[in-house]
Amino acid sequence: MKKFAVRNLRLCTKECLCLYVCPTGAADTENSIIDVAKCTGCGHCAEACVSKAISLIPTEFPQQQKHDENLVSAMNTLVVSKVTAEHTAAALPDRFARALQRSNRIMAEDLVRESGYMLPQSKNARKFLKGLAEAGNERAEKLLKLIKSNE
Amino acid sequence: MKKYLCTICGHIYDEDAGEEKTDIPEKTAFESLPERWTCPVCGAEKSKFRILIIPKTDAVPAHTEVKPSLLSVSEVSNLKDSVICSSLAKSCEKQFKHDEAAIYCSLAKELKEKVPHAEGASFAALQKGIEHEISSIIPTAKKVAENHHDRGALRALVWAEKVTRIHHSLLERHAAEGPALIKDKTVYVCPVCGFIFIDEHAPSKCPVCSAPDWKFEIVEA
Repeated sequence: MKKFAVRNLRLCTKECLCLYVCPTGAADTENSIIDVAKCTGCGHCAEACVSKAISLIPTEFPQQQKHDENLVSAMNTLVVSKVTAEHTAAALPDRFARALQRSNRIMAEDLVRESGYMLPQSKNARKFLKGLAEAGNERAEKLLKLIKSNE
Repeated sequence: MKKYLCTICGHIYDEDAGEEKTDIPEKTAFESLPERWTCPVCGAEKSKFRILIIPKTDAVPAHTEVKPSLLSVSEVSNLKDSVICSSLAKSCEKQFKHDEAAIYCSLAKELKEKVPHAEGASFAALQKGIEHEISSIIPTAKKVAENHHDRGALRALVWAEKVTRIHHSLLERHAAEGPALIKDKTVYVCPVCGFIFIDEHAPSKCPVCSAPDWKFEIVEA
């Protein structure tokens, strides 16, 4: 499986061993972000790093887990309730209402992720984008071109 | 009898009601709870609770009529599509697909803005929705997830249930305390599970999902 290296700046302690082992110079950048165009995904940098600050991100993902239809429908009822709450909170004043608004969105996002929208590469996500693109949405069309299917 | 507030997650222990979940009968004084008793929502120790004094200020009159939300089918669908987009934006971000994440974010915003602002919205309406979620929607969904051994869905539901209960107790306090609830306090939201914390210093990790405190968002006015 093809991979590329990313550096977690919160963990990086600038020991710079990655620079010594990188065969292409991808790890040596002025903004500390590993150059994806140069990275071959060999993983030497991740192995050498004493601070465990480098991980290898796959470019291909396995098919996402399937969910039962009844489960998706039960989750959807809760998502609808959460988006309604988000919408109501948006019309109310003060920071407390903002927090409720944000919190409801976060919960709804987690619930849709666990009911069929985990991977942007999935068939389900593409089907969703296709629906929007057919209705003339340009952003959806652009995303369909950018993200390749894995199913 | 008195009420006690969990300073970690905002759960309220009501001496009158006891606590069915932890087998504490009605009319049990907080003092007489066993020392190893912990918060049923976030697991905080007994010492993390403080007595809840509810001042009677800016109280919403009890007879206020609660208007149900009147969203059309297409409005609900736009809001839901917006959530799918902001969720997929996060997934793209995790895969370091920054351009794709940015487009998904704009798409989420575009879809959300198609729905006009709610009219006649109230905190009481939010509370009503939550009561329905806690008594019906969440238990039903949890049962379905259990039956299908869908661990991911069950995990999301367990977190959502905890956070929803926190909303419930915060709304209860807000109804009684009004704007004093957040006065001179910081409002934090956990971006992973939606946990809300209102006080000076946030706990070092989220009591619902264990995300570290540096991930918490601070809600600005």
